Amino acid sequence: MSLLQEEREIILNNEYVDTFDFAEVSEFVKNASKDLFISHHFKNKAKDKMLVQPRGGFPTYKKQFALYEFFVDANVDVLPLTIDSNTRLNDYATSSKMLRLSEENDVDMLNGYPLVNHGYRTTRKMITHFNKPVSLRHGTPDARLLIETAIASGIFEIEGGPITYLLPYSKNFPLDKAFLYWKYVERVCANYSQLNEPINRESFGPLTATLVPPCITIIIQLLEMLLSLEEGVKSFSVSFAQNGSMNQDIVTGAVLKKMAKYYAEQIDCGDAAINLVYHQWMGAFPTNRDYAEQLINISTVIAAMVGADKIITKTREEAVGIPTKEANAKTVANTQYTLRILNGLPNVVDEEEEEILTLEVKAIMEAVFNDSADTLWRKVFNCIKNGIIDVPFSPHIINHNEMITIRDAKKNIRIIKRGNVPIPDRCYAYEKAQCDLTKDTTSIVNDIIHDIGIMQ
Amino acid sequence: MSQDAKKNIRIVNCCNVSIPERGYFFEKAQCDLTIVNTSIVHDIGIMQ
Repeated sequence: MSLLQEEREIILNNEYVDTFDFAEVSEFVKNASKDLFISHHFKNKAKDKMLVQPRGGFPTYKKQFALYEFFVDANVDVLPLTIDSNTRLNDYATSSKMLRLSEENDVDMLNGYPLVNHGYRTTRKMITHFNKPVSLRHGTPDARLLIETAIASGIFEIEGGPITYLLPYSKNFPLDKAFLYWKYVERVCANYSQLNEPINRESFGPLTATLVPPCITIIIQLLEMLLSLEEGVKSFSVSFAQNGSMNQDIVTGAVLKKMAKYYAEQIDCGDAAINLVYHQWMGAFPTNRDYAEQLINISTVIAAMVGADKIITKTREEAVGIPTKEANAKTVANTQYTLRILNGLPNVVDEEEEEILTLEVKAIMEAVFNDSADTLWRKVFNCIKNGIIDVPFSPHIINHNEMITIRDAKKNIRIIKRGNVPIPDRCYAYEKAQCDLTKDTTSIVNDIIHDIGIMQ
Repeated sequence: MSQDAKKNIRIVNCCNVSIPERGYFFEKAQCDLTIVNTSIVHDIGIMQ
C-alpha cells in the first residue's frame, strides 16, 4: 500500500464519515457523466463563451436542492457548493450540531453546506440529479477529508490552495502544514483525473481583496499552479478579481495568461489545460442594491474584455448578508444577459503597463526559485516567511505586511513601499511616480482607507 | 443589412447606395451569406 493510500485511510477513518468505499468511489468517478466535469466544459465550449458560476451554500439538503433549482432556471453553467465555516476549520462536531438544529427549526444555523456531515452518498444524489459541474468553494487549510468527500459526491472542481486559502483567512494555522495538506489534495485530484476527465483545480486569486497589487496576485497564482501541476494535475484555473481599474484588470489578465503558459512549460507541464477565472468585485460592496447591480454589470463587462473562461458572480445583497436564492439566481440571469449582448468588444493592450508588470512578476519568481530550499513548496514557504511574498492586509502572523499600496489618480493599485518584495528599481520608481506622495502621512493613510472602500 | 459574427452591422445588399466596390466587398466578406435571410429578424431584436 502506498504512503498516500495509508494516509487516505487514516483521514477517512473519521467518526463523522460513514464507511468510505474506495473501490466504489473510483468506479463512480470512472463512469461519471462528462457533464459533471468542468474541465470537459472548458475544453468543449465555444471560444468566446464564458461560464457563469454563482456562490451559494445552505445548511440543509432541502434548501441546497432548492437553490440549485433556482440556478438551473436562471441558466447557470456551473453550480457552487459553498462550505460552512465550522467545516472549514475541521470542527465537524459543531457543524453536525448546527445542521441538526437547522433541520429541526428551519433556521439556517450555518453559513454554508456541511458536506462532511451530509456525507457523499447523500450529496451525490443531488449532484447527479442536476448533472451540471459543481465547484467546491471553501477556504480550508486542511481540506483532505473535505476533498475526498467532495470528489466521492461528484464535485470535480476544487478551489483553493495552501497560500490562497490560508493567508486571507487564517491568523495562525501553520503554513508549512497547509503546504503538506494541499500536496495530499493535489495528489488525490491527479489520481482521480486518470480515471475520466481531469479534476479541475482552481486557485483563489482575490486573496484579501484589499489593495493587493497585480504582481502579488499573479505570482501566487503561478506558484499554486506549479505546486499543483508538479503533482500531476492536468487542468488548472488561475484567477483574479476586479481591482477597481479596468485597464489594470486587462493588463493583469494578459500577463497572468502569458506567464501561466510560460511557467507551466518550464516544468514540462505544457500539456495541462490552464483556464482564466474572473471574480466580480470582491471588496466592500455598496449597501444601495441598485448601485450593487451596476457594479456587478461593470464586472461582467471587464471579464469579457479580459477574455475570462469563467466568471464568478456576486449579488445585489452582498453588503447586507447571505443572499437569498432569488437574488442569487437573478444575478446569474443578469450576467448571462449582459454577456449575451456584449459584442464587438475592442482589444485593449497597454504595452508599457504589461512590460512593467511582467518584469515585477519575473523578478519575484526568480527570487523564489533562487531560494536555497530543495523543494518548491519549501522555497515558497521561505519566501513568505522572509517577506519576499507579502500580501497586503493578510491577518496571518507569518505575513510581513511591510508592503504598502495605494491607488493612483486612475485608480490603479500602486506599490509605494515594497518591503522585502524584490520589485526591480525601475518598476518601483514607475509605480511611485504614478502617485502623489507629496502629501503628509495622515492624508496618505486617509487615501488608503478611501481606496479600500472605493466602490461604496 | 445584417450583423456579422461580432454583431457589427454590415451591408449585404447596397441597392442604389454608392458604396465603393472595395468597401462593399469587405462588408459582405464579414458575413455568413449562406444562411437564410431570417437571421436579419433576429439581428433587429438583438438585445431582447
